[in-house]
Amino acid sequence: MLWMVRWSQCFEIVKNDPNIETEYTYGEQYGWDSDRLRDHWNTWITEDDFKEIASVGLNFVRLPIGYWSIIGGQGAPFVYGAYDYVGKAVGWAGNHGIKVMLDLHGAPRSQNGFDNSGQLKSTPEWTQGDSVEVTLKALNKLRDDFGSNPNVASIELLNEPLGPSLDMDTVRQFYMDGWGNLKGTNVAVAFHDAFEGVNSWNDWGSGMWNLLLDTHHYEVFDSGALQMSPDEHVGTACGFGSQMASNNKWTIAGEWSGALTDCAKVSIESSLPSTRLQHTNKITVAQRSRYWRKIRRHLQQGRSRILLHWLMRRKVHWFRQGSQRRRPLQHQALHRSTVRRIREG
Amino acid sequence: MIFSAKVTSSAVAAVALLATVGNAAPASPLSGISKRDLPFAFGKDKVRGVNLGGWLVLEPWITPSIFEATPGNVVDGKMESMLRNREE
Repeated sequence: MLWMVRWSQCFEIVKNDPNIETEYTYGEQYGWDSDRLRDHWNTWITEDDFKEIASVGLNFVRLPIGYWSIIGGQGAPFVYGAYDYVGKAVGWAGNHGIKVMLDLHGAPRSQNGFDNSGQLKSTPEWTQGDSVEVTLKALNKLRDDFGSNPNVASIELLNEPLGPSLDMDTVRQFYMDGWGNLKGTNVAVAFHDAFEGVNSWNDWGSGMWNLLLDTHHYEVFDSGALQMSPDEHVGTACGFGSQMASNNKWTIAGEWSGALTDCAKVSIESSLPSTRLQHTNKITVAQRSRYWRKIRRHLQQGRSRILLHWLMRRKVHWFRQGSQRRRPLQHQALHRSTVRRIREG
Repeated sequence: MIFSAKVTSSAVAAVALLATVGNAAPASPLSGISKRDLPFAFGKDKVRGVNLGGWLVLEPWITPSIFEATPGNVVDGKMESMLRNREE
């Protein structure tokens, strides 16, 4: 478990240009028709990953995709071309008995302002202008291309719309419209809880079928969470799992992590005034391992359960598989550990 | 828990709800009644999966190297080539 100990020292990630930090600004610089990203698309995930995912006992992948990849940027300067790989991925998944959730991760004007929506913003601007209409258009394209594909089990209408900063009536209407467009397909229509609370959707969705509520669980991104003791973390995960299980809809933890530390320099909290949230508790390897076991079990109380990150590069607690080709030993160590965890689970 | 203009963490919000969620809703029949056959038995079979993050949607914290060789540092094509070779 040496890699776990070493990881706690944090890897230093150097990011040289603060002006290029999202796909939007990247596209601004390189142009929408740049094929500079093609090398990345060709190598970051390959069919071998699907083979390995299946070999360790997993049955599902969640595949984030931006609207710009599906129907073009509609005036925004995103790099175009990733959509070809969605088809490849769905085929690879089928080859290895894995089901896919297609996840619309970025909507026009950003639904949450997070960099992973494609555009970093102080507040989300999605719902302004024709952004909802364009989002539905992208979803319809996913529906037409994949809604009857036996390898695609779910389409998620939108990842993490930031409910507290958006008009929730608009969000709910968007969910209803999106569901209406997809209801005739063979996919479960997934929708994120919009940070309104995992139990806040029980009164919504009457008469709608094949709904799948997605909720995300992390315990590292604010100073309050980082000040929890290991036992408090376990208790929090347990409580959250119970809440999931009490829902009247299929509920899935579409993102979670067993991480109790966040060491990425290029990370979400880097936009906070302080450059680094402070950990007040020293967390031992044994405590971390216990948390891993507990959170996995507790989140599985939901009627459907668990998705977590697969790919890693430097930060092993966030991911399932090492893509550090230059670090074969670490990769192997991680992989063995992964297998052990899966079997224990 | 705040949603200040600077906070861009989804997870901040995710953690926030832990403190705000009240009583669990009463159990009622699943709304996910299948009107169409699905390729996966949600609610019965267990989803055990992973996100394919950082692939088709870039996330700087997952693939920082893509954002490292940016024009601010790349002065010409040769240097870019050197940088990219170094990444190999």
